[in-house]
Order: sequence, then structure tokens, then C-alpha cells
Amino acid sequence: MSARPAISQLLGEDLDLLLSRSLDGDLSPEEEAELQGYLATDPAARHRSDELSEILGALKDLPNASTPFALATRVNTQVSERSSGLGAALHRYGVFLSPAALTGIVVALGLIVAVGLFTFNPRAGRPAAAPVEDADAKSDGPVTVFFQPSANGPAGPAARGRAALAWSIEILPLARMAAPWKLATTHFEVPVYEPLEGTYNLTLEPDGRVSSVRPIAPAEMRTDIGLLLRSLVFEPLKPGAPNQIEVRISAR
Amino acid sequence: MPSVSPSPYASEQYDWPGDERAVTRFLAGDVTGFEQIVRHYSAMIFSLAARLVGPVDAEDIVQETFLRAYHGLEKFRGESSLKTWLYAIALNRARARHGTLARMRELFVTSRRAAPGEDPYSVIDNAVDQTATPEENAMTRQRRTRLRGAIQSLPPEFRTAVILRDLEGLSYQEVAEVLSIPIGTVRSRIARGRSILKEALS
Repeated sequence: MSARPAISQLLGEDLDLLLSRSLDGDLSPEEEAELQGYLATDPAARHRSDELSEILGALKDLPNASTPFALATRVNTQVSERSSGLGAALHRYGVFLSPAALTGIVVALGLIVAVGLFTFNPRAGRPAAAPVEDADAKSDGPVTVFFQPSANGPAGPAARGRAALAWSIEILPLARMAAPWKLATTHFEVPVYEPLEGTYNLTLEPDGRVSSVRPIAPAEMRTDIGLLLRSLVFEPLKPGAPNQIEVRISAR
Repeated sequence: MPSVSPSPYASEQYDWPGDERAVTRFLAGDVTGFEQIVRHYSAMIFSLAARLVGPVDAEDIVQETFLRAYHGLEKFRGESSLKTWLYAIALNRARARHGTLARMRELFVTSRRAAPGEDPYSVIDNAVDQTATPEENAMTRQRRTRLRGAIQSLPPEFRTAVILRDLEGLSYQEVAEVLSIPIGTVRSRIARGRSILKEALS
């Protein structure tokens, strides 16, 4: 401090800078002692210090928005969706388009190409052969899903604060389905009860809602807390009607 | 670049291996490294984003931040901490939100915007303290609204410094890393921002 002007000669912004640094604990012990000594002799400066301290307290007490539920999950999902294919290539160059916009652009380009082919290719326009359905489609394999205890379940508020549980869900192929279900990212909530091990039949409505979860095969259903099955949606490859799928849930 | 197959639902309990191990894991092709980074830092980035653009649009900023981080992590050299690196990205995304490119992008990207005239913090500031009288709660609400207005009215360079230091609790060094400015400049911007707030609220 000896190389700088005496504090008593500092006015305005320099004093505010010292006071600000003092409030942040950024002064050395010697500097702090010198400042406090000065403040003891200058009521106006002391008042200014008190006002700044009050502002700082008000700032620290200013509440902020709570982190949205399952934010990290949604972020990871979005990164996964946008980190592959054309979307990822565009993202590298700072062009961020929503999946819907990207789909729209691709569809539009496809239509342009199709119209062009139809116009210039005399053989275009013949009906394509019906696709062969694969009755031996394999499942997508195990998917890890985390279940969060819900205060709306049977245990009510007692469920709050319970840790989320990790479960593995294996999507099983069904003989009556022509193609496998594909994991998508829409959300739904269906109450299921801990523990979840067992095989379940889910009824998936055309709009993506799971309207029922029915356990089949031996499944223990303890009901001490209610869990909401969230963020697990199956995108039907044959939309338009309710679809039945089976999932096997086992502890991770 | 490894593809991410995320767990659809984030557990509240996870093991944080630290910045270096998470980054190393991700760059080695293990996607859980990036998932861990998201789980560890998403709340912090959301908090900053909510301060910068309001709670309604904050999640968009978080998404954009981590998407950029995903593609930029291989270039991260560790000169700053992962935290300040992510904060810097979030800050840039928040600033870009008001730029020309952002206005064009809005034509394509669905964004949840607060209605004109709607105070996005009204719910937060109107939260009632059960131990206080109605008059005290009303005064608290009023004080918070004035303070938020004063923060928003700060010149951008002072507002950012005050938000990072006084609202987000970053150290001077961390603020300097986020803003890529010398510590001395950080000190003076924070001091000046606080002084302006004091004048505005007196």
C-alpha cells in the first residue's frame, strides 16, 4: 500500500474499488487493516461501505429459478439426437435447426428430387412394390431407464427425496409385430411400483401415451412408494392404432 | 466422435469422476464421460442462463451450451477449468440470442418465450415467506423487483461481471477466465457495477 496514494486521498471510484475488494476478501491483511483504520475516521466512507455491503447482501439473497426436473436427461437426449447425421454436420458450422425444421427441409428436398425424377424419367410413377415386413425383427436391446420417486404415489410426500433408481429395460420383440419398436424421446407418465423387475405389457396409444402397464409373468409389486415411469416412449413404426409391446425390466 | 445414447432419465445420484477423467473418458470414446459432464454442470449452467435470459429461455441456452461443448470438447486444452469454459459458452449463447443470427434462427427453432410484459421472475419473487408478515413479503417482492430491474439496466460489461461474481459466486479468477479479461479489469467492473446498483437503488 505504501506505493499508492494514502487512502484518505482516494475518492470516488478508487474508494469504491477498495471497498468492493474488501467485501470480497481480496485485500491483503495489511491493506485491509489500513482500510478499516481509514473507515473508522471517515463516517461518509463508512456509510458508503455499509451501503455496498447491503447491496451485496441483497444480491446474494436474490432467488433464482430452480433447475427444471430431469434437465440433464433432456440435454443428453438432445445432444444425442443432434450429434449424428446431417444435424451434426450442420451444427459444426453453427447452423442449429430443430429436428422438425431439419425434417421439413429434407422432405422438401426429397419432394423436389422426386418431382424432378418424375418429370425427366419416363419410368417414374410406377407404384413401388410393397415393402416386405420382417417378422423376425430383433429387439433394440437393453435400455437403461431411471425412475424417480413421486410424491403423488401411494407413499405421498414420504417419497420425496428418495434417490432415483436405475433399471434396465429390454425391449422384447413380439411375434405379431412386423417391425421393432424404436426408442424415441417423448415423455409420458405411468404409475408403476417398486420394485419393477418382471415383464410388462404396455399399451401405447397413437399419440404416444402409455395408457396401461400390466405385469405379466411373475413380478413382485411392492407398493411402498409410487414411481412415475418417465421419459420412456416408443415410437411406433406403424402409427395410427394402439400397439402392444412387452418390456422386461430388471435391476441394473 | 462417439455417439451418445443417453439414459432417458437422470439419476440424482451419480459418481462425479472430476473434470479431467470425465473429459478423458469422453475423448476416448466413452459417452458416459459427456453424460457425467452434463449431469454435473447442467444445473450451474441453467442458473447462469436464467440470470442472463430469464428462466423461460434458460433451458434453450443450456441445450445450446452443451451441444457446442459436445462438438468443441476435443479442442478443450485445459487452459481454463471446464466450469469456466462452459460458462463462457453459455454467455456467448445468451449474447447470441439477441443477435441477427438468433432472430433468423428463431424462424426455425421453437423457443418458449415469456409473453410480452410478463415478468418471468414473478413466480419466484412472489414466493411467500411463511415466517414474515404480508407487509414484509410485499416489501421483499418490491425490493427484488427493483433489484432485478437495476441489474438489467447495468451496462452489459458490468452486468455480466456482477452476475458471475455476486449471483453465481464465481471467484475473481474464474470471472476473468470466463470473460477472458485480466483480473484487474474484473475487479473494476464488479466494483463499478455494484456502485451503479447502489446509486440506482438509493
